[in-house]
Amino acid sequence: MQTSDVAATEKEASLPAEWKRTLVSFLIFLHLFALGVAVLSNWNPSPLALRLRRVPFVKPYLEYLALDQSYVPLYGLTFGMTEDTDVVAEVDLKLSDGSEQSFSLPASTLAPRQRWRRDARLAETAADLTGENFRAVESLLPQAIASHFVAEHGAKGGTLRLRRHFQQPITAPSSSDAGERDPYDKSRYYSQVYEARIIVVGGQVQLLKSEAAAEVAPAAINKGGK
Amino acid sequence: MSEGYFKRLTTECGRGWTRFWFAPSDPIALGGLRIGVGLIALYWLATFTPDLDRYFGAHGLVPLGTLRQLEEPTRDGNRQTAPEQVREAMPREYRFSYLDHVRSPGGLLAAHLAGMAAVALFTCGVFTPVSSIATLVVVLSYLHRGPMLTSQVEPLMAFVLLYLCLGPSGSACSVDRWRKERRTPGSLPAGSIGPLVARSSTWATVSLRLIQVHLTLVYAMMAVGKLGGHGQGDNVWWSGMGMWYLIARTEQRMLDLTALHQWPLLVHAGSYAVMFWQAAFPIFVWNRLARPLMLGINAVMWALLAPILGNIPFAVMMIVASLAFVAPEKLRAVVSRRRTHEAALPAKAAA
Repeated sequence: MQTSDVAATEKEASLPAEWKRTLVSFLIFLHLFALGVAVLSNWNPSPLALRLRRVPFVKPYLEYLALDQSYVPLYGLTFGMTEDTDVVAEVDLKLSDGSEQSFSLPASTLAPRQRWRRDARLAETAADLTGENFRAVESLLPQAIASHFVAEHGAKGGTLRLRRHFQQPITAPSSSDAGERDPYDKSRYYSQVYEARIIVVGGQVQLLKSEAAAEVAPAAINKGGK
Repeated sequence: MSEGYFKRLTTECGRGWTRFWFAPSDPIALGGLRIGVGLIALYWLATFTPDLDRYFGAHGLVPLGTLRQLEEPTRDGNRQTAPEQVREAMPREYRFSYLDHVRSPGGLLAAHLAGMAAVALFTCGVFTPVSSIATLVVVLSYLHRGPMLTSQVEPLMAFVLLYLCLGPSGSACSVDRWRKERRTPGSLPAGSIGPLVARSSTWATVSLRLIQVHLTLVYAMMAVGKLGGHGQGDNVWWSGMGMWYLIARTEQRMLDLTALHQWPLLVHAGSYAVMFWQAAFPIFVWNRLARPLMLGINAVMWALLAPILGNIPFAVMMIVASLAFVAPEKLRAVVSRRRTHEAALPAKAAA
């Protein structure tokens, strides 16, 4: 027996039985296949990738275990698109004593940062869901947000707005125009994507959407952004 | 081409596969990952404590009814045609969450504290085979109950936890190991360092390899998005403006680096550095010689990006997950030195 064969035999002795290795290899293959389907069907999906999702057990397996992710937009950090901007939900409430109070989501005072981030993600999702493609569902999250604030403060009505906060261009901070230099300038860097009146009828919160939203042009948006 | 060539090819491929997935390895890296991911999960969960009722209560920001209504239009093929950012935040057709069944503030708090206890046990390595699965269930329950509250860290945490459930993550650096050693003194290999080290295991290799492969996939997709362009717009990374788009997000950032507008070349250099680091990582991390360099660059880049992204748990999670690439012998050497040093201290003091 050659030396390499002896070493191989010794190594084999510490390995699991062959049938176990075969079974585990098969399971690894299935897992990697499902993972591949998740990646391919979540980023510019081809018809084949979409059909592969329908292979029995693939979709439930991916979704239950939260493996069904779009890694490109999720971990791409930014692509300079509309979705890569901050969003603030502003709620102006008319309280039962006649006074008015304003709230924002996320509130800048929320700490620790992870709590702020959750509220920010909720506002971003609400804004991402607006537009032509989402007519049927665009008011669902704003309604949930409005209902929460109404219940918390016993309000009898109000207004809810979703505003995108676009990034300044790199040349803006050195501009001679004070408005352009200010990254919080509402007329330049904010765009209202959704506005609705909050109506409370019999304890139920309803939203009456204003159609004239999104009239402000964004300042620093990538040309390909939606 | 001789018949011998193909025989050798299949044999060598088979051996390579077996060596890659099944050669037993020291589970100390899994122990380190368990502690790191466990601490992140514990922090992540603890930050839910003041907001349980605010999110999941009867008048919460994410009511179950809304979740179900949002789920309907994104079923099957419809989901995949939705813009990706939206898709991430939408509830899945196949989802489970024990939080769906708890509505009262007291019930939510009790369920939450039970979940935190499970994660704390897992982090300490107590009843790890059970507590690891419980931790995965807890994290997935929150993820499925409020998908629109999640960002980058949650899916990462979920898959690392999934793989830690498969391997003996409680066999090293754990209370389980310590208890086992106390019950059967001398059960550890000669030269071992008390409760910290366990015997090599095939399942440790399978678990570590799965983390490595999945993490590589994440980096590869990060790089593909940047190199190939995403959407139909200008590629902000190739144009060197990617970093500026991050720096200029006033709400998200934790550190204001707007002053860098005076040095656009620096911004461009930063953008290219991010792009090439993410493109190089999934290739060079598999090379033994380049691996320490890649891991070092990885840690530095995430540490620099964390305050710009304003998402420290995500950056820490990426660094922790990359521990899967550190050779177990190196980790063992670090722990051994520390233990030896600690053991020597009382002796020195006595002298």
